[in-house]
Amino acid sequence: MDAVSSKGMQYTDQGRPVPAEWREDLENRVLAPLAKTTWRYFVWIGFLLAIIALAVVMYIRQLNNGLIETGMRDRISWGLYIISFVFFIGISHAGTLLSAILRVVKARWQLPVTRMAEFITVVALMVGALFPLIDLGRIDRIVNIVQYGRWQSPLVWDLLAITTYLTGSALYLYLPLIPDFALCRDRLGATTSAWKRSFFTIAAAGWKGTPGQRKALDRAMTIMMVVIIPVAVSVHTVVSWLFAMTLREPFNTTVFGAYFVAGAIFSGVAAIIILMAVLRKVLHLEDYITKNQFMALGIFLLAMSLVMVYFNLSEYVTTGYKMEAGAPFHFHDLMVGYLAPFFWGYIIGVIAPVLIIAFPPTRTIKGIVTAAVFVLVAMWLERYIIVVGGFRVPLMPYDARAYAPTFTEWAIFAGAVALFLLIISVFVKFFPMVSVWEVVEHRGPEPDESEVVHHPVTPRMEAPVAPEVA
Amino acid sequence: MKMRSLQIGACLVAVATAVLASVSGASAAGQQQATLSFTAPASATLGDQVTVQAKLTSAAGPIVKAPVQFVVPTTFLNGSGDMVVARGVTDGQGQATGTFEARSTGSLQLKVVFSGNDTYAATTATATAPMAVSGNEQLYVPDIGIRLRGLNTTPTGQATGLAHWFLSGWPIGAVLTLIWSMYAAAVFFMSRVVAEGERATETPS
Repeated sequence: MDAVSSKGMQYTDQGRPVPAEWREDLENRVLAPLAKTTWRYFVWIGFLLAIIALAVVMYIRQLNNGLIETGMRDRISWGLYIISFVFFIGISHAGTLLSAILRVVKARWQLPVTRMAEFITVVALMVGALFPLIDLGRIDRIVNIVQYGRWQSPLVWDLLAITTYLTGSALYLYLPLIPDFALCRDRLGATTSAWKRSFFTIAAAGWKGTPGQRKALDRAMTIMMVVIIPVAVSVHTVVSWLFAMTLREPFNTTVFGAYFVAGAIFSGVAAIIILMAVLRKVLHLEDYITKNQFMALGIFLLAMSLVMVYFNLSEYVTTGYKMEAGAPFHFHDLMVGYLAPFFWGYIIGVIAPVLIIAFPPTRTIKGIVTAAVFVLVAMWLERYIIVVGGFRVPLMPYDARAYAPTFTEWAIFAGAVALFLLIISVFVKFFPMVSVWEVVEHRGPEPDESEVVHHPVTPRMEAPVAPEVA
Repeated sequence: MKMRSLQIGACLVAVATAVLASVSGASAAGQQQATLSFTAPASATLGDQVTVQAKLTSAAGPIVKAPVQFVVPTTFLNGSGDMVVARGVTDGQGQATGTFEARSTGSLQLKVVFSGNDTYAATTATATAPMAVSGNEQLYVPDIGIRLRGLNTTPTGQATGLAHWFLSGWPIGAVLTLIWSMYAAAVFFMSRVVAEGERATETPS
């Protein structure tokens, strides 16, 4: 809760001063995109809509002609759609999870970027959930999973987990938005259109910032931040079980649950860093999203890189040591065979962030964003290896088949990426991208480099002081 | 000139091949001849456990502790090969026993294969007559893996409709109920925000 001194100076809950002009500037910067729109924005939206339109045309074509339009056949029956599904669900993972964990431990550095992280979760889930439907071929058969679904089926678990996570994430996104919607209602009410004014008024839920309202909001947020953590972990575990519970050689591993969760956090953090860099630049938030946030997320990305290296080492060493059943074929495929470019691309993408972020000269905002791009590409390749690599191992005495996505699949994938960007672009016009009230009440102005206290790793030994001689 | 080079190259390859063949021949010549005999039932019913026996001997007597594989020639789509249906290891009398389940009807031409080792050469024996498998038993088992009462087995009480649907997946249902109850609690507190706002409007300070 904010405190205001007798002289009018506001303080954060940790006693840091919040100058009135700083707060004013923060509100202006954050609310500016909600109030005015430039022609560049419409050009951007038009570009995204054009890509989506192409994807819709190709999807209708697939609907008419069937999955023969894709590169998937009986031997490799999961392709780019399932790869994209796992990829988007992975991106969705880090946002809410990161935000919730850091809120639970009362961390403060992430507050300027929590909103963006939570947005990524909701939008990536919305887009990711489309892919199983596209992969169905016959969309009308989705009803069958409800009508004839069995509890034993991981597909049913997946449906339930994603629905639960999407609902929880949307709720968790909305709750801290309430005070900011009230800010929009109060600050933009007179200048914005009538329908937008109505939207802000309804979404603000009558927020006046009374002690009773703060207490109720705090309780609601506490419940959600606690419950959303296991839900987030369960979602990607269940996604991993879609593979791990299928009788195929590369999927026969118990590590898949933890491996997928780690991979999801890894790619999710990378997505947050990239979105953070883009929105910081486009919305001119350089004073509020500073090097501090990039450094913290960069170090986290570095740690997750090492975790991924560990998981890969653990999996490949144990499986490669035994070389049971289809493992020799799969290893040959990965190391020097059909999937070698994907596999080595993935390995480079996992190790590159370590090399970029570990060394101070490249540990800059640009360096961290570059590392994040490496990670996103690597994690897409990893999903390709898992899906296609798994289906390439022959279960019977037949030749392994190749898979290459067709133009239809690429167009639909591009459409999904465009839809992801479109939803974020539209959301930027309706929701403040920084949680103003939380930053003001809990964080305050970002400390300068000179203000940041660097604790030495080992305590410095003070030189003994000679006693004064009288 | 080019043709002459090719001819010389072909001669060199032929000489090298001949040398290699003589070396491998010498290695094979060092191994003793093994003999396999094979006993299998003449007929079986679908789903039966079929026991087959093989005896592996050499001029010196029974070959002991030698692995053998019982195989059935199989074709699937455009692929074909020997499918291993059972494995065994020879005992003190050189006898090995294997058991497998008959899972397809028709005549099965069973074979036994000894892959050889440093001492004995590889050998194969085919059953004197194909084994006739008859019957029409449904071998597909719909529920595999672990069975938890109430999770994937029918609960007692014969509940019907929605109750049966819920009871048949109670653990998942319980977890979902807990999570959605917590969502409901969060929504309740959100409604308190609205109520507190209305109260503040009615009683301005």
